[in-house]
Amino acid sequence: MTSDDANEDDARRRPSSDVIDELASLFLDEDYANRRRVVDDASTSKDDANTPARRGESSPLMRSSSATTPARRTAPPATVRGWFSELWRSLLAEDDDEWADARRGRGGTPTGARAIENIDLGMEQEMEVVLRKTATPASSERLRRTSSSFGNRRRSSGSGGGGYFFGDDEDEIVRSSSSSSDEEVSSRFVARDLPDVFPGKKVMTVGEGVMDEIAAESQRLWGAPNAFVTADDCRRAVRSLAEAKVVCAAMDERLEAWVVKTRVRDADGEMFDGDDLLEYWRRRAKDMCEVFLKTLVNVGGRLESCSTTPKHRDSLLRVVEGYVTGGVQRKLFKVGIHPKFAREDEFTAIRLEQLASLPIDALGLEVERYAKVVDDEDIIASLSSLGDLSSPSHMATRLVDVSTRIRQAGGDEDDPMNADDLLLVLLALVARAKPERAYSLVRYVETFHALVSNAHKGEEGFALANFSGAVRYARGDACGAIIEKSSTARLEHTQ
Amino acid sequence: MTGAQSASNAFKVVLLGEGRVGKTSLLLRYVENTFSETQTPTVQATYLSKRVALENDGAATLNVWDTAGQERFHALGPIYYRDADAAVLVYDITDSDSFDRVKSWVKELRQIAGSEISLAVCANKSDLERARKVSQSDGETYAKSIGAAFFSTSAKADKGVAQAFMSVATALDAKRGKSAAGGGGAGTKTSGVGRSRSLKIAEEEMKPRGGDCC
Repeated sequence: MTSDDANEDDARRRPSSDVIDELASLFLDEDYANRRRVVDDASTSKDDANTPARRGESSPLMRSSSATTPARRTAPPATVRGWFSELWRSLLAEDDDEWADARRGRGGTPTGARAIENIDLGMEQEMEVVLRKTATPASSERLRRTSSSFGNRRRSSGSGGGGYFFGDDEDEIVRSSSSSSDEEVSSRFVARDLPDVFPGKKVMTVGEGVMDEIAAESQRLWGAPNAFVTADDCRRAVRSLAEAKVVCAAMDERLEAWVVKTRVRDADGEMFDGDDLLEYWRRRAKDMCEVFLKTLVNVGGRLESCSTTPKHRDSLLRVVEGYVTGGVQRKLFKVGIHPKFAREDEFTAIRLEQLASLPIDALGLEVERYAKVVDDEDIIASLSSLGDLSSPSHMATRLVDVSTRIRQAGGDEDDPMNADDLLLVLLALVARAKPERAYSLVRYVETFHALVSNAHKGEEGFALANFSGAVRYARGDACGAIIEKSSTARLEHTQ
Repeated sequence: MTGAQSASNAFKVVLLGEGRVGKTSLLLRYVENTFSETQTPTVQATYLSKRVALENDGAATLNVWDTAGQERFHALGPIYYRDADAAVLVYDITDSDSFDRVKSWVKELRQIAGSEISLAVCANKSDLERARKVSQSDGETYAKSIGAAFFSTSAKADKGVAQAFMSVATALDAKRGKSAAGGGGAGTKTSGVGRSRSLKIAEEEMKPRGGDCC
């Protein structure tokens, strides 16, 4: 293939700008006041005449009806745009249907009889069919080879086809132990037989061995939730998936177009204050995460297992949060949070400066025990650059490391630190580190960490709570009294 | 686990009580089944995570947060309560002030969390019966009045500790089951003090304008 061919091929695979526009507009149609409206009727669009989009009609992609609805009340989607319109509609209709297992094994693409019908109708569609196929020695060999690379696999004694099954904590692949001649094997047509009409998603030949590889790839991608720390980690992971390209492109567009509104009125006409605005922005970011998440899961492929496997699910939640918050963080800080909390930041900076000059016993800490840890340069540098990190989750991960190091340096098994001392040592360290715009940082992390995941209930949340507690304590009256008392004592000592 | 946890079975439990009531010892007894005679009111770890096997063959992960108990940190309480699924309130049976303090914690929790949060009251140091200042019936009556489970505990004598935490885990698991059966969906939602604040957004703000609705 020449480079021109490659470019042409690449361009063909890329979603058209129309598709992106459509997706972006769909994403824009969210109702953030918890009264979501169904998306605008896409069937009114002249170039999307076959897209079924009348409100209230059941979607052929809805979980309860996909692939099995005998007589649809609506026409099938004619284009990728139509498909996504339908997908969007089904997501809205599902509302509280979270992570239902019903989709397991069905992917996000129209399948089986439904796909065949669409092909008959001349619809653009990736096709998946069920073939009767005799398992060849080569495919069996391939299966054995790929299976051996995973420790948690077992062979089942059943006679069914191949599949990937997940336990609560461990993943395992279950396969037929026999090579029956009439074994059902899921396969797809090769690219030669069908045009590659699904932008961004590579059409490929899939036999049982390759299906196994997809499962293996899913495990490789999503098996370690804690591997996703930075926003870049998150972006890289999801963008590496061809099947997610269209959704990522739409989300990128959406993130870029997201303007952080700072003048919002409530129902009584009053302007939102800083706290209300944070909540307002949080809802938007959360909704974007949810939309992104659901859309990715419905895309299927290597994202399919994320709807059913706990670890994979956690990975995807982290990835989605990192992707979204990493994409809007700079904007949020620059346009929204920093200007809104400028006074609080100034006050906090003054307080931290005052605290940094206090002896730690004035805070109530034992000098002998904690003098060393409060001057730990690594911890101070880590806290100082906290605001430079790429996402709330990234910051939380660092704070977990900081807390661990403080506990290790400030206590041992015989004489461990308590929660009060941990807070005070962190306060002394934050005062020395003087993170830029500390109050804004606290409010941001508090608000945007764990938008859809449960990380705020775990150790990350605990570390963040302590950081937040330290900064808030620094700003409080109790700390003000300590500073005043200390400076009075110093003045008297000088005189 | 430092990262995201399986949404369906990880619960946040905050441990509340005045300094020196024995929160740490309770926590250590429960998590590590250790108790040291010489242990001062400090904690070996301020955050502990434990997976609990339930009687119904299910499992739940309790993420237990120890909290700063000094009065001067009282204002920081909501930072720790936020999104908590349960609170274990500890008082020292030899210190009636610590019992009064539990009452103030509960009032505050109720204000912030409403009835969503599961509560358990631990009357700790039950091995010091001779020095008892708060009667068992007072503790039980109070716990009943707030809809909390009551446990007479002694970390030193290893009495009632595992039962208290198991009760919390079971209650949370039951609540989760009820929530899922009620159509709330397990998903990422669990009971607890939510972070969301109520917002009344003007109607015109909800209409998308071009590409910059947010």
